[in-house]
Amino acid sequence: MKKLFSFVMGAAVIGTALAPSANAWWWGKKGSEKASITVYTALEDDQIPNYLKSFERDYPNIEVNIVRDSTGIVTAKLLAEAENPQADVVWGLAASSLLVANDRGLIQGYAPKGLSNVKPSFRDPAKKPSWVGIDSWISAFCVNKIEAQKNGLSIPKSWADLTKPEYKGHIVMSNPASSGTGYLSVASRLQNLPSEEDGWNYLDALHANIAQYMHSGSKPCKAAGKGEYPIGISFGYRAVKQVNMGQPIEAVFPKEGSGWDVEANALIKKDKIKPAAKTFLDWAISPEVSREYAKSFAITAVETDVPLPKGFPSNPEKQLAKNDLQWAAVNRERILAEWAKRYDGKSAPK
Amino acid sequence: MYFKKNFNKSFNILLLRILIIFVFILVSFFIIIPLLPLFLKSFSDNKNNFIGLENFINYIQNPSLTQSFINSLKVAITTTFFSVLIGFIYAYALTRTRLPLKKFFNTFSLFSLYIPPLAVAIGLIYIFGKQGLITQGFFGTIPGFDINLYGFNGIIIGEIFYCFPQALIILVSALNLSDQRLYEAAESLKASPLRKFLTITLPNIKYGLMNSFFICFILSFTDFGVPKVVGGNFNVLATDIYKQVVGQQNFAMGATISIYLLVPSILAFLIDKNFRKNEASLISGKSIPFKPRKNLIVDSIMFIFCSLILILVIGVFSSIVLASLIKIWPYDISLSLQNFRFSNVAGNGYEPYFNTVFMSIYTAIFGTIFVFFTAYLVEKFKPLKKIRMLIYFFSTLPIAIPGLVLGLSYILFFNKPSFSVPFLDFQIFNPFSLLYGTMGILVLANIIHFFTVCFISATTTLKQIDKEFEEVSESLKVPFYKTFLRITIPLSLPTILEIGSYYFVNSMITVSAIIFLYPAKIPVSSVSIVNMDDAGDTASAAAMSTLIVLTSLFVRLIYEFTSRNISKKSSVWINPLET
Amino acid sequence: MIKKEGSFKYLEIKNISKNFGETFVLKNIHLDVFKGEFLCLLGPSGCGKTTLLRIISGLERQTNGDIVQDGLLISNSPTEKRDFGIVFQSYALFPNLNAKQNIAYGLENKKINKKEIEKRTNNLLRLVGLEKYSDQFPSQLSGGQQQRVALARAMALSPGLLLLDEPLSALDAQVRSKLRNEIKLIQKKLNLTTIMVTHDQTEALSMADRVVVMERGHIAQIGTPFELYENPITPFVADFIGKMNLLKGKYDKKNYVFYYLNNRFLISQNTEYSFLENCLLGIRPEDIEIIKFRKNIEKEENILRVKIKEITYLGTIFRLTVVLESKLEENIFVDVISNQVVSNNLKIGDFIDIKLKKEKIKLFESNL
Repeated sequence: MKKLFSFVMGAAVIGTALAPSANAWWWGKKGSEKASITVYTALEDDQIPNYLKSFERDYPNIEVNIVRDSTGIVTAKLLAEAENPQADVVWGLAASSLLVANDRGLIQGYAPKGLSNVKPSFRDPAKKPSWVGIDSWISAFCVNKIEAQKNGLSIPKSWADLTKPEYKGHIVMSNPASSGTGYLSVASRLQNLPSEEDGWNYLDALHANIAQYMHSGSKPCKAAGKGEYPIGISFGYRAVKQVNMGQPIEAVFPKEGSGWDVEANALIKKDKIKPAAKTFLDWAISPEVSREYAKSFAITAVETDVPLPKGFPSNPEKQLAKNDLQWAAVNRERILAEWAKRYDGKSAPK
Repeated sequence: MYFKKNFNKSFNILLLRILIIFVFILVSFFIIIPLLPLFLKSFSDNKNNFIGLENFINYIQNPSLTQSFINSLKVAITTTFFSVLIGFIYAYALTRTRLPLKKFFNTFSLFSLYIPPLAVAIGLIYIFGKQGLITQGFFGTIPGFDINLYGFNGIIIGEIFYCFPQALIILVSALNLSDQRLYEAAESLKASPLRKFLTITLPNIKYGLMNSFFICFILSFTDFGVPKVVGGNFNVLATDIYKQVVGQQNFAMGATISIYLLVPSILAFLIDKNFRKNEASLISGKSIPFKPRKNLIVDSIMFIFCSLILILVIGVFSSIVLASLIKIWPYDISLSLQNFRFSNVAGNGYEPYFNTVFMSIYTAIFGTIFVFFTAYLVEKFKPLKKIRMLIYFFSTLPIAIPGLVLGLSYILFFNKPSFSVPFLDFQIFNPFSLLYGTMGILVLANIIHFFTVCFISATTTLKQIDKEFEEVSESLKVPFYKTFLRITIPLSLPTILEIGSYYFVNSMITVSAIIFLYPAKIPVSSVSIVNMDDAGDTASAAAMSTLIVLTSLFVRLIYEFTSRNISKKSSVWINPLET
Repeated sequence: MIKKEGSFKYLEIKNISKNFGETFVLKNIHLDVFKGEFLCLLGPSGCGKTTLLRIISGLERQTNGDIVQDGLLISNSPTEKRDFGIVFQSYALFPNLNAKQNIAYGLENKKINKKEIEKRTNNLLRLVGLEKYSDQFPSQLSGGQQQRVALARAMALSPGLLLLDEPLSALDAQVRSKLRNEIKLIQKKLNLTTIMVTHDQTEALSMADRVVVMERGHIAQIGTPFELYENPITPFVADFIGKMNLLKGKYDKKNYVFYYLNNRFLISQNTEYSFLENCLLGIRPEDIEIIKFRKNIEKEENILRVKIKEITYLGTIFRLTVVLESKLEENIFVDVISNQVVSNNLKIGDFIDIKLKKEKIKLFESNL
């Protein structure tokens, strides 16, 4: 009987291990006395530690758990977890994604301290805005100077240049169906030509030159950096970063203006909203951290005295093309369906 | 009339029934029930209104999406053909010829399984991409050759890397079961080598062959990692799910495509199952194992073939290692170790790596225990036949569930704090929701994701153990769990170790099942490889991949060492299961 | 049937049936086993003998009926609550345990101290003559040695009942006959009630106190080996135990005459047969005489003129296969002592007269 008992105990131990017991490691680092918040973000990995320095200094009692992933994954996670939200705060996620999340009722409006410093076009106009921006990212071309020369290509300066026959098979861009950056470019083209019809005509011409539609926003620029393809349609920060890494890349901000989106913060709606979450949101638009944002982004929501990062056009605000975020969000499904019909189905095997 | 024994109800049988029901509940909640919310999703719009078959109709009417379906089939069929062919020849070389350096080829046969699919893709880009070593003819020293990596070709090569070892595992064990006497009889009847192959070898391995077709088909049909990186404009169902869910947050359509993805897998599963019904061992316990004879021509051809395969695999791995050491490919080829300092890229330093190692260890330990115990209950006992058959069916199902679908359904199921009872205003607490956001859910997802292959190999082994051992023990009044611990486990030890190492290696590289699931506090390296690659830190991604491969290789070597030691010890009682 | 007066009924099998849906594997089996008896369940494969053994052990459940062992009703007791030891045809020795550990396997589960286990295990090893092999693993033992270990293991818990499921079938002829004697000796020495399943009649006849002949799910006959041989009650038993010629014909009850084709045979009047006129005549090959060289054949009774079709040498005897000219396809077997064949110079194709011994003739109901 004693041995039987030990067997049952063994089974019980396995059972409790499968349904995790009070094992601190298993649960993650719980049990500390610090208040802790979970932050979902799509900001770049290498930026985050720099940004967080001042928060950690000022609020040593708040532990921040960062979940970083690409815009799409973070948004998908937010929506999938709708019934039992895990995040307390969203930090630096595309405003267009936050519009979707707000549409599903996942966001609690909140006016963070210092909201008045935020430029009006960088926030939800509501009194308790569902999203508040921190910076803007803009589309740009990454052109590999070495490969362009090898292939006898001139550096394209505008969206119109990209449809020239010489670039045929030399351009990659992100697939708007899988990447926010891709959608940004498409939506911007549709809004900035005389009519949507003209927009589609332009995209038809562009499609003729495209070698590949890629599944992430940064991929086209990376491919250009490695010389896989000479030209990648990506976004500004990416292009500038790769230049600084020493790749033979030239960051081109197109003459007609860049598509853009705002990276924004939001408070997640849940039964118990932690005060620390609001503290975090207040901090996230503070002048001090905005100065950090400004080191990587040409345009920030809160005006700073930081000089423009190397590689960006001198008057970045002027570089912004016309863009109605609300329009882009509302028409998204329609545009993507049309886009897929025109270009995606034709990507037949070679 | 007679003095009736008062202990007619046996405690053991009661315990057994409880255990079987317990395992039934577990497999139901881990495999079947999480799929239900996914099914519901596919019949509703994104606001959770029921819309019937509308999603399915929309899907069929969209030509670009149906094209993906056809593409997926093309990929699966081509990959299956080549993987099984290569796997078969390699397995044949290992089992039926006097291949020189056989031990070496054996140890490294599964090498390509240790490389994360994404890393394979990175390696392929360095070799066959537009700036690849071969495409550019080794920096222009020889004429280059462009295989048009992005698209169908790239996907096929990547998938074969992943699938052929899986076919190899099955075919090696099928080819190992052979009877020298049959070949001797055929020889005495003057059968030609071809005739012997067609009439003895092929019929003997037909179930293994069928099974490897089935596994390769499903794996390549549902894989997402390779097409995402080298697929170019070649759309497949798995990347469609990604586009719908990640790109457009359209869960309903993602769920719908998941169902479309499930259908051929389940179909293949049913065909395989039906085929296996007739499976009977053609090899009796008295068979004499086949002893290959020297054949200079065959042996050298096989040596060349296996070397080519290994060179390709090692070539890809070397280019990954190279990628991790080179500063800016292909413009600044200076070497440095700086990419192994992960602190500045993923922000987490080595934490994801250790998380992954621990996750894989937990998966290996708990997965092996769970799989083996389930197989044991299903295979060795008589009570509750119908429930045991259901457990068996459920256990063979996960192979047909793509990782991405599993991850999605887990997030939908395990993040539900409670279930509402239909028609009643009543909520049931979901105890499994406690797992969400812990290491537990990652381990669980991995256990289930790779469950079928492990389960099948456990049942096969248990089938080979004499059923009468249990009966003898009963007659000796020894309870079943003692026989399990004292006899069954020692006899199955080689298989148990094999299952453990399979779980470990696969958990190290898996992305699709856990990309949605991993909790904030527990970043894992296979996901951070994806992130680093996305962020442009290819070199760091390659460095992390190198670490993963080396870890798996290390574990494999430990496995080889332990199992060799065990078989040395057990050689006195000649393990009947090893051949 | 010899009734063991005063013997204690150790095991009573009462009306046991086992069926899978419509198909019956066992039908209404009644059987008593006496204390210390060696009982054989004998029959062709598929007759249900193994199923009956497994039902007794509890490894399988009967559909109907009861089993009483030593006065206790055990019909629904699980296997581990029943008092028996079992030996399988495949030995089923645990390959990872040596001979000694195999034998001690059941003992170790009891609350017995190590010394006692050691002592008992050694006794059992001595009993089966394997003291020298205690540390060997099964794969290092011969088939006969393995089966001895299995036997010792089955007896380790001193069970009241020993069940043997074709224990000798996997062994070669010499080892088999040696082990037959040893098992019998041990069984008698320990006065251990034993039930053995076998399909080998020689084995059954040489080992058993009583044999239960089974046919298609029911008991055809129970008796001592001698009874079964001398007085089979069905043609099945008659032909299964030893060899019996069965001739189909008509029986004239009044005159005690059996008509086979054009021949008439006189039947002993000691037995009254009560069945219909169509029936079978049975006679064993050794109960047929050759009377080739006797005179006045016409006056003799029960004579047949036959032609020799085959001569098979069986050691001390020859078995002749003979046929009637009028019915070439029906073989009749005749056993003749060797020297008679040699001295008479019998050859294939010869015509001889054979005589069926009247007192040895049996009649059976014809259900063919």
